Amino acid sequence: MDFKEYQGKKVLSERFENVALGLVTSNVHDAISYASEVGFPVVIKAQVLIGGRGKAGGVKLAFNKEEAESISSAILGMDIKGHKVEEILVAKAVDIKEEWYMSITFDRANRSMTLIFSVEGGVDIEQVAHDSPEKVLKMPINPLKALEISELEKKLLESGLNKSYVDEVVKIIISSYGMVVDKDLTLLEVNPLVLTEDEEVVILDCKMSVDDTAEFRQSSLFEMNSGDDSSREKIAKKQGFSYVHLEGDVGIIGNGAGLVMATMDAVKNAGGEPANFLDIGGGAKAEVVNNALKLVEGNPKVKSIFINVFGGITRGDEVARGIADVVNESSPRVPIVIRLTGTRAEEGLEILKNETDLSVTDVMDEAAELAVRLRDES
Amino acid sequence: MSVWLNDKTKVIVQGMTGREGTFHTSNMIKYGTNVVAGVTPGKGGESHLGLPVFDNCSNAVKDTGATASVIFVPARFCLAAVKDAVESGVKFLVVITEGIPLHDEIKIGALVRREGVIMVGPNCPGIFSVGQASMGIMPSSIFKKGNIGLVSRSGTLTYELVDLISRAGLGISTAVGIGGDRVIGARFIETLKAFDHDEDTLAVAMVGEIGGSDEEEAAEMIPSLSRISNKIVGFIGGRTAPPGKAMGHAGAIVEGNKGTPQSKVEALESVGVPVPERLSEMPDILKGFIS
Repeated sequence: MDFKEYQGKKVLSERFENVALGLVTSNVHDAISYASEVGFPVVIKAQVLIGGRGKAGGVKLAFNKEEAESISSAILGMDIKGHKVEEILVAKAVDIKEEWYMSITFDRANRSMTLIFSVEGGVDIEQVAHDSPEKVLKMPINPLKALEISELEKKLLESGLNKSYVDEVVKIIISSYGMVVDKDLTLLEVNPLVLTEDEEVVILDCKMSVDDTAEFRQSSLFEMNSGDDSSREKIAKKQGFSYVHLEGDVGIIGNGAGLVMATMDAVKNAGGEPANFLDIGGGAKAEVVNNALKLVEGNPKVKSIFINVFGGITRGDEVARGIADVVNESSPRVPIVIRLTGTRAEEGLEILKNETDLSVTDVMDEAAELAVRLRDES
Repeated sequence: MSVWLNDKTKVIVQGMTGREGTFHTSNMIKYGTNVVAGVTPGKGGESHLGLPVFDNCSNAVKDTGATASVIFVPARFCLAAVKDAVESGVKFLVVITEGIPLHDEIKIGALVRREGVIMVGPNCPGIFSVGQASMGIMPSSIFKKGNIGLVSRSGTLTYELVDLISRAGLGISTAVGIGGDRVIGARFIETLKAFDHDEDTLAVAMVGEIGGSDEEEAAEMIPSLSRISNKIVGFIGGRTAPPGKAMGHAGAIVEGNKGTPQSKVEALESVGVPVPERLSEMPDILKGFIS
């Protein structure tokens, strides 16, 4: 789960004193009165889960009340790459001497977390890494050991950080990594980490993501974002399967992530467009199939549904029994194609043929073609 | 012989007394796997499925001489279970558990690499050496014995392909489900090398999917294999998945320009590995390899 800037900063403020927290609001008047209170200039920032806010006009300085009003009104409601701005963060502007970059992020190729630091912050770090790689410190972190402070100091100096700030930055990095591990973060990025004219190091911006699989031990973090429970993804998660919404009109249900992906590919090969990814996991019990069908059918764009089940440990005839009961009870609004194979698939197919009027086959590509044809006819 | 597991391998099951553990252990025993003990902390001294239960792996290994362990414990206990197994001296591990937090997986991965333990998984269906033994949850009914090695990031696609291969009149030597998580133990590289050393394996099917760079890294290594370098067929699932979203498996995600199906298909094809668009085309290609 990704956090908005202000949420991430709130989490960081548990361990760091110099975080530019400011005020979060969706109200222009609150923004103006907060700005007047802390004193101008203030920075006003759109709170959305997408990068490139600055370029899109979602981050601006206001030097007086009038500007605070006009900028707040302009940013609230703004659309940034499909994300509607519903909240802004207002904070007193700081006098910036230097802008640095720091992140701790999962590096898949190294199978570890990696620290990245640069004295060239406030800009796109990929660009800095491309133009002047010597200014970007990149250090994989051994998960079985504590951070090596002497090595860290050496590398920070090599990357061009002034000696007088090394101690402070090392402290920040150690606290940050501690937080990343303790809170199951997959990403913590501070860009920029700022050195002010008063020689203070301040966290001015923040991107943070927490590992979804760690929800059981990070419930307080997940509660910060529990407002929107209506999306199909979230309903599916509660019901115990994974769902990804896509743009097409052929609904897809299957057991096993790999099989569902291959089913999407088969539908595309047959000239169709998948409406979703839905993995009901192993077992394929009647109740689960029922929930899955309702979820997919509930998408108004769906014109046909392709259920692709492999009977493994769960036998094909049991799966068929479940599907037949569900379909006969709920009479779906769109045509359904079922492809069943694996353990006791023949018995399962017999049940489906005799007891339902669904289209039934044991060949995946055939089923995909049929699902696309039925979509065209409906 | 087979890869990593045969009918002599002495296997312990961590989490054997749980519901999943009980069900799958009895299937493994029925298939002929040499399961020698179970491990459940707090239940040492009990007996389950006719086998002794120990509090930890070290005791189980001392008593039985086991060299391999398969783990069915819930995600939150998995890191501790892997530590227990590694400390006991077990050299081969299969982790079935899904939903392990990333930081635990990072530690698990680093630990088994440091100790030289081969780990299959996590979040995988396990390993199946046909006619010999099974560690995990693969359904024995779909397998026929033969000379095709199979390595896959997906469980159900493994079954799907095994079924297609059986129907085509071919059979499997060993099937390895390496799992779909962001950090896994044995990847394509290690598994393909193991197949290269297995005389019973004449050709290999590798089933990859979007996300990460394991297929690309395998492609770089494939030409250095001695027996099977020109007898591998590939498949990449998720060609139509949109970028930025994990498709069920935590690791099946196209991030920026990394992990795209195009890059994987190109890498494999550039070293002579055919990558058909349909799984159903794979058995014919395999037939060509071993005829």
